[in-house]
Amino acid sequence: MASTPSMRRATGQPEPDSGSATVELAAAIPLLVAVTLAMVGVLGLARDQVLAQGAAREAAREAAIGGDPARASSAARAALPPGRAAEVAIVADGPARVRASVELPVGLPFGVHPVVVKATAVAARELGPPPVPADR
Amino acid sequence: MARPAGERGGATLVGMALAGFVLMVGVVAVDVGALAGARAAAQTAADMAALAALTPNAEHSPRREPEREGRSEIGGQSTDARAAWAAEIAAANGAELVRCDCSAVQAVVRVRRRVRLVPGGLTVLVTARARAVLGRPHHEPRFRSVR
Repeated sequence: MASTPSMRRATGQPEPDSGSATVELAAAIPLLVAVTLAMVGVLGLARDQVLAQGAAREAAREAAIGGDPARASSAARAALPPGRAAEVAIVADGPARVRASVELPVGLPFGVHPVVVKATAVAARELGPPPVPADR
Repeated sequence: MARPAGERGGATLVGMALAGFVLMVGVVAVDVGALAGARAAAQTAADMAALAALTPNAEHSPRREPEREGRSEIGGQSTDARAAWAAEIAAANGAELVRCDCSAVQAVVRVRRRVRLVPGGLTVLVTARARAVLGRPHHEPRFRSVR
């Protein structure tokens, strides 16, 4: 116990740096939490990108086999989780192709302005009799 | 408890190491997200290309009589024409056709898509495979897609 701190204590001086580690760590923790939440937001964004891609594929497929745009958009919405709003657009991409675009708004943490995730799919139009309109 | 020096700076080192680690994990998260998105897009491109390989291309070859449309026969299209049409559809979906084993009744395609990752300039190729077979024209003469 003959080291410097105890000698300092003996002279009545407080240790100048004692506890600063705790304070510095406490300052770092909110930053770490923020970064972690941002990462969770990024992963959610990636998940929604995959979802939008699947929806665009379904819409393009439905439009390619002769479904009308309304039918194609409902196919896209069926591929998304219930309650997710999305913009679906079907356009003819030349005489033999159809292009489906899906725009899916994604909410982000920290009240950041929502980002719109976009995905498109192009399918070759299959000529043939139109699908049976029974389930319309 | 004997300390050789004060605590000042001790947590700064730990915090910096932690921040570096978290940043690295963040970069990995962004990259995993980009790869997952590219993988989904590549699979879409592969599916659409495989289906296109079995579909007569109305852009290039003149269509036959309407009453014959929708039948399962795809006469008049060469393997090269099918592969070219599949490549065009894959390209429209942002992927590149690598391989097309395309016969008149079955198509097996492989496509790849380039992904740019966060550490600058690092690009990765994501591949996807799809197979389509011509189903028997039952009540609905559609093509079945089997992955």
